[in-house]
Amino acid sequence: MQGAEAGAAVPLSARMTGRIALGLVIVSGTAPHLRITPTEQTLIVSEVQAGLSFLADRAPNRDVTFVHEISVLTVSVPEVTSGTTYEDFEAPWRDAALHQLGQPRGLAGTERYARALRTKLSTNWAYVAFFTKYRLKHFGYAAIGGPRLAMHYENDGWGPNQIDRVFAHETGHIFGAPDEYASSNCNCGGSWGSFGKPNANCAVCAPGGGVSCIMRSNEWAMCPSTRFHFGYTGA
Amino acid sequence: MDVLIFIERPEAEPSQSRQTVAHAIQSAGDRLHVLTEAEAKTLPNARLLVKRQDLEAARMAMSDQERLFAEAWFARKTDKDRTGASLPWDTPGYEAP
Repeated sequence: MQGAEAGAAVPLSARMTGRIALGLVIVSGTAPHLRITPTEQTLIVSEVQAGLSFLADRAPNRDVTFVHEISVLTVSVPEVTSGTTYEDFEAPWRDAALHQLGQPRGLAGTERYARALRTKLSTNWAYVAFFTKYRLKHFGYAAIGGPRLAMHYENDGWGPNQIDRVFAHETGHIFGAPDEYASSNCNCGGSWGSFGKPNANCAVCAPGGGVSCIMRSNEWAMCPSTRFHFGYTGA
Repeated sequence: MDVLIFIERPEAEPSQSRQTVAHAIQSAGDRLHVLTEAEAKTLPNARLLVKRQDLEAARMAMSDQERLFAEAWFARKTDKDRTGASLPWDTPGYEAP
């Protein structure tokens, strides 16, 4: 999870309610090890669908619709193999992809793309998910409040066939939910999500180490705290 | 059970059908939607893509993006081997997301 970003006045992902545009951008490079094959593209979309079905099914009022806009792109920029920031690794291939999407570079361009999707698809909210085989600072990350998450196809030790749960977890960050596992240095306070609820299921301080939850562990589970953080209607 | 449907001409759908489609949990554009089977069966002009043969029959009318979305829907695996299943994300040996 990354820190909150400076955002425009109208939030893009305040609550997991209503219609939500997802700009799913699959970015290959031209080098063989950076190519995402058609079979792998299908796997990514399939895993994303599974992750989003979980999130939509857990909405108490079943009032969430994720609307996909899928782009499969190939860019011809070199891979960054050493760097210190998320941006160092992400910017070259992401900005080349944004250019192909007719957007300016940087996170500002990503946000602009999300806003354009929200208008085009007539949704309440919008975010962008980049998938790539380019080297990243970390295999999966998102900024609290959006506008984007980034994931490496290999999905670290969890593997590509578990992109679904990691994707659901990262989407949780987009909608304001904090991590709940101990090494995130979470605490049971704070004010998270549109309801401003504390992180009561943080494994560091919750009774018994907390309960099963997608923000805490690798399982299809939803806990009351996270339900509030997502901002579900009827949470 | 959720099913995938394809509506070739959404602009021609009656308002009642549009209201039903609004209950989809996922959509790709305005022609592919994931709905409950009960909801899908109320839509007179929707093709239910339940079996792979259903997809083959609709494929020619779909855009590349729609085909990818539909293929992916059929590629879903409900029973798969999951390393580290149920473990906290920060379990030693794994990177936490």
